[in-house]
Amino acid sequence: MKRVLVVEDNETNLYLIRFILKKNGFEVIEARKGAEGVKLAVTEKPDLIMMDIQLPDINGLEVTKRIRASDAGSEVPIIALTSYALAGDREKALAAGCTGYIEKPINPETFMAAIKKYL
Amino acid sequence: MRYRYWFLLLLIILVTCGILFSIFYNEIKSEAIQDLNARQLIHGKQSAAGIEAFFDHYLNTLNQFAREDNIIALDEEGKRAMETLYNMERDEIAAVTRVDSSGYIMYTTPYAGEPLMRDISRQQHIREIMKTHRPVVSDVFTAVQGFKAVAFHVPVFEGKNFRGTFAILIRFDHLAKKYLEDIKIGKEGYAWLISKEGIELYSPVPGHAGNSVFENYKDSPSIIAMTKEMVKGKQGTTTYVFERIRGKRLEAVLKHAVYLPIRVVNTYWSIVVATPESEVLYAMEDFIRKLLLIFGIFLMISVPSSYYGAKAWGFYREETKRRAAEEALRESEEKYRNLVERANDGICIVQDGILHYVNPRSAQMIGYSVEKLIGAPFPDFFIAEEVPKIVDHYKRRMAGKKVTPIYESALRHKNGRSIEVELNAGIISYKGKAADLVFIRDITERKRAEEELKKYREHLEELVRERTNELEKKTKELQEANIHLQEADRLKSVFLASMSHELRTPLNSIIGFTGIILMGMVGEISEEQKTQLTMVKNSANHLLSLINDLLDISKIEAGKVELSREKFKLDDVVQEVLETFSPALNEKNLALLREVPEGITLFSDRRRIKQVLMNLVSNAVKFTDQGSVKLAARVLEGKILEMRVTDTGIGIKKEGMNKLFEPFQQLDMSLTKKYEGTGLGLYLCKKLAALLGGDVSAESKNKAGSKFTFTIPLREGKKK
Repeated sequence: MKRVLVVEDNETNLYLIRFILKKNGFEVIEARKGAEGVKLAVTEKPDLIMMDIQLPDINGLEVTKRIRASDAGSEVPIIALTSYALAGDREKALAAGCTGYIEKPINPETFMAAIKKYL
Repeated sequence: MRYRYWFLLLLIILVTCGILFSIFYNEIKSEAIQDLNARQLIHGKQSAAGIEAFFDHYLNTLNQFAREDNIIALDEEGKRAMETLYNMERDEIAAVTRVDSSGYIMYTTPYAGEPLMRDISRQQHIREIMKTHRPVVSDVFTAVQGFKAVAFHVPVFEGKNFRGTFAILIRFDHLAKKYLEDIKIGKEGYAWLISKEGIELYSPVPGHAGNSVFENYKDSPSIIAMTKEMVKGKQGTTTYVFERIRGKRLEAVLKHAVYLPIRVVNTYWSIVVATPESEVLYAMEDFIRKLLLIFGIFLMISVPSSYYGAKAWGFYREETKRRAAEEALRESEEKYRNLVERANDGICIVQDGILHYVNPRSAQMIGYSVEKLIGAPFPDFFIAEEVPKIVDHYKRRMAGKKVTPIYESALRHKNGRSIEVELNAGIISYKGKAADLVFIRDITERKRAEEELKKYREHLEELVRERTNELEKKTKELQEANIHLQEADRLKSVFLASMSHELRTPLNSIIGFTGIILMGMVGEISEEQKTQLTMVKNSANHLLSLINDLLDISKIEAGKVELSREKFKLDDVVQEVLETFSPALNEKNLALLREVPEGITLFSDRRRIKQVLMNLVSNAVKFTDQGSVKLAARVLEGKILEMRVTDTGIGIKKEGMNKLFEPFQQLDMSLTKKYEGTGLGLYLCKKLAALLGGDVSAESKNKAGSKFTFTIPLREGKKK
């Protein structure tokens, strides 16, 4: 069973992502803060990380950089969850070390296809 | 000057004299030549008559003898008769001969020892008489004895039978001497004689006689021409050029000649009487001398008289000119006096500080009479304050120093009032000495006008200053208002941006959860539930795109958009756009046409370009129910990318075209329901295209499809 770490502070989004992933047979590890995300990424060694950019403590880009800086997190695919509102988020995410991105709001019909590209 | 007339007159006289002389001379010469030719003709005729009589005489004599039986038979009696004839006529004839019918000499006297029965039948004249049986005369030939001779034969008949000829040998020298040599006209005029064949029978020129003229004078065309007339037996008058040798020189002599034929038995000769022209001139010498004398006297009289005539004419001309010049001078003087006297400015002449001349205007200006002013020192008429300056100016000018010629001053009127004037002074020569010519203009009026103008100008400047201040104040107010407005505008955009973000968050869950429910992830749902949830999802998506568009616009207007430039292939973008719409196209059964050349790369904001294309293609698909949607691209001038989205849809009404790119203007409100849209799409496209340094434009006809053209630079520059 593949394991996905979802770093997301918004409960609704977290619920939605978790629901879709579990329905599709994934194990979901959750982090609601950046620091927690970094820790879990290192200790749990997930197969994929979904990273929200706007987080309450450190933002997703910084979190990504820290994960990439650790031995455990240098290879894991990290998918950024970007908002349409912030121009340049995508580019910044890729520059920070993300493997790809999914634009919010999440469309459940296309979500899984996007995820599977990175596994 | 007057000598010219004289020379001209003299020249006319001389030329006239020359012409008259020439006319007289030619007239006289022509008469002299006529006279000469008349004389020559008489000589020629006398000569001809003499020669003709000579031959007639001998024809008679010979015919008498030829009829004698003794001669016909040529017995001793006949021979004696022949000797008698010879003895009687020995001055003229050199021999008497009897020739038989075969052309053999039967007998001749005086007998010179030649053998008798000599055959002479081959001689020209013998052949002729034997043929014609008529008298003949031979050409001139040189006889055995050495003299020139002519043979004269008459036929001898016995009954009707030709028995040869009876002939005499005529001493041609005697004949010529008698009839030709005597012809002497002047010193050098003479006669010569030719035969019918052109043989010279007699000529004073040595060696010519006996030869053909055509041979003797082959180099003288004029003689040959005359000879041709002569051998035809004609009579005439002519001139010819005869070349003769004088010492070592060959000289051409012009001769006047008369020629006429001479009848000689069976033939004719032609005689020429010719005289050189110098003979004529010689004859005229005396006359010419007289003529020259007359002209000489005439010239002696006419030269001095023409000289004095010309001189008189010259005096007359000089006098006329002088009078004309005087008249012109008088008129000129009057003209200038009028100008000065009537001038509207004062004019005066100052010499040695004294007024020598003043015009009436000067006097009028200061209230004195002209007479009072003349002879007065000029500083008397200036106001006291001006006198030192005026005197200084005057002195310096008269000393030849450079002084401004025009300056203002003030005169003193008789009644004490001051008059402002402008003076214009300059040095002239007056009565042989330097003087100052001064023009005086009353500028009181001008000064007053200037003063008024100055006041008015000052007033105007004050007005302008006031208005400028007001304007500056207003501008400042406006600037402040503008800053407020700009700030308000910015705040509006910022507000919109954050509002959009806030509005979007709830949509996440609406879209997300309707999605998973519709997918059946939560559990089975009925058809009714499915339909209703689909409506929720579509509304949410519509709201999302509305918010997105609004967000973009507000960001662009707030100047917050940052372009993200990268290098990318147009093909990829086009592919993505078309893939997005392929389900919709299939559903509506529309043809998709793609005319995009491969290999176009751009350096620009990929996402924004795609956004514009998405909008345009979306519109095309939305408003087309049948036919096709076409996406075409080309590069213009190597630096502009032009993309065209063409459809066969409902098109745009003419009145709608200018509202096309305005916000919330989905054109036909009745269509809003059918073709759902935000009403911001084209407005946004226009904004984005401008942001990328390009443009979007539209062409359309109602119900006949639309064409949207999107142009952007291949390389987007750094400037905003």
